[in-house]
Amino acid sequence: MEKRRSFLRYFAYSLEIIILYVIVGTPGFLPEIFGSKPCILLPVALTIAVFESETVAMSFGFVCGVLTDIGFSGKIGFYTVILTLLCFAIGYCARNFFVTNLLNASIIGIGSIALLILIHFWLYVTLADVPEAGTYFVRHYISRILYTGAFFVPLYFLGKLLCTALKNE
Amino acid sequence: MKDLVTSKSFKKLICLVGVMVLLLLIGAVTENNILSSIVNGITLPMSEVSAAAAKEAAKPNYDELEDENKELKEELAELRTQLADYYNVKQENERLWRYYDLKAENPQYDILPATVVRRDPNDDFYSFTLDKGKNSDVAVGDPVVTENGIIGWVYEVDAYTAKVKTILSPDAKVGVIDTVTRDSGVVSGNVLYADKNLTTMTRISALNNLKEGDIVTTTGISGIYPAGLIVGEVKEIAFDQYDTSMYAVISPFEDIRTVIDVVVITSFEGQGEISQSGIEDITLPTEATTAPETEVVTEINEEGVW
Repeated sequence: MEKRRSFLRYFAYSLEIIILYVIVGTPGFLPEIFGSKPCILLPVALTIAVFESETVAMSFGFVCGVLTDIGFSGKIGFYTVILTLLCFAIGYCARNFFVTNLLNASIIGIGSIALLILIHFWLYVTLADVPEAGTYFVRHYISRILYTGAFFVPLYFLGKLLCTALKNE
Repeated sequence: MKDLVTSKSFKKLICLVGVMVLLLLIGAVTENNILSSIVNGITLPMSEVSAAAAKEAAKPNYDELEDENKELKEELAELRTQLADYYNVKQENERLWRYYDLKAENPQYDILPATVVRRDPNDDFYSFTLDKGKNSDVAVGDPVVTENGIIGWVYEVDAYTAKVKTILSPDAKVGVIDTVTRDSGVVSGNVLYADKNLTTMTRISALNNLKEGDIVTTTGISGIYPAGLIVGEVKEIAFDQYDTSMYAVISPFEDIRTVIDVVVITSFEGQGEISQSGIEDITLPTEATTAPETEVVTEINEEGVW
């Protein structure tokens, strides 16, 4: 029974990830804000991480990272590595160091999203010496952080719903 | 911390990091990204469905299509009007370029491009009506020319149109001079030649040196036509069958019978000033100038010679 519930939960997470991956790539489905689209799989991985153990968090972080990288460049790279590590860390901390509630999860989740996107900017724009990097940051990256962060709260509640409904007794 | 490092989950993390490094290396070395192919293979059908759904949702409804159709029809009507304007402007531009040389060579001319809008079916000498009238400063007596030379004069004008008689008409009396031999005469239409786009040069001296191919131009002495306008070339020299006087058949360079685009010279230097030298232009379409023509006819009738 426990295994079945776990399987259903993981299946539900997988379905959530796949559906959101498809939605985020569907042309015209999500409007662009200041030329940027949200990286929805980042909050998905982070919300799973706050409710699950570090191993499960790490696995779904890996999957979300792979899908995000494939969506960006077609090859795994930055998001796969960093999301796997980050989800592991968040899963571990959530289980050992803080109580999982909306406030804590939002601080950690939205902070992590901002951190991930800023590191991405640093690696792919600043270090790559892209001209007009400041303008690029203001016009695209700030809106991407805010747009992606806005998805964290609804996805937190979705994750909580799945977790409470299908969590082992 | 020690617990974390020695935990099972940490070992799993290390394994996963190892897998990631391996995948990164494979991705860097090989062109084909297997992982991407697998993911896209799985999600492609869903992506296609969602893309089709999004496309369907983005399609405009009936009201929007109706509005768009209405807007497009209005736009089309506007564009048609613009296209018609474009062709008009293009034609006008071509016409103006044709007369640019005339104006450049004779800066003292005030020229007005005009279009033949009607031809009088009852006139055997190809008179026609222009689309410009008094409102465009056209006046009776104004010469009408093309880039190939003079073709007639305005004999009647109202606010918006002007009627033109051609040099094929016997009413025309244009003082001309042979540019080669300097023989002078009067160009006047002849019923025998008008339908062949020919006119005649009469009142030429019996000792003239005219020859075929010579070009004749206006003298400008009467102040009705500017001097130096090409009238045509001498086609043949002939004798009048009644009085045996000589005349030259002149072939205008413009086909007056079919001309469409012309220029009215509304003003030129010396207009209305009769020269004191011997030769006179005798055209005269206006009431004031028809009297001399009558006199000439009387003279011929009475004396049988010019």
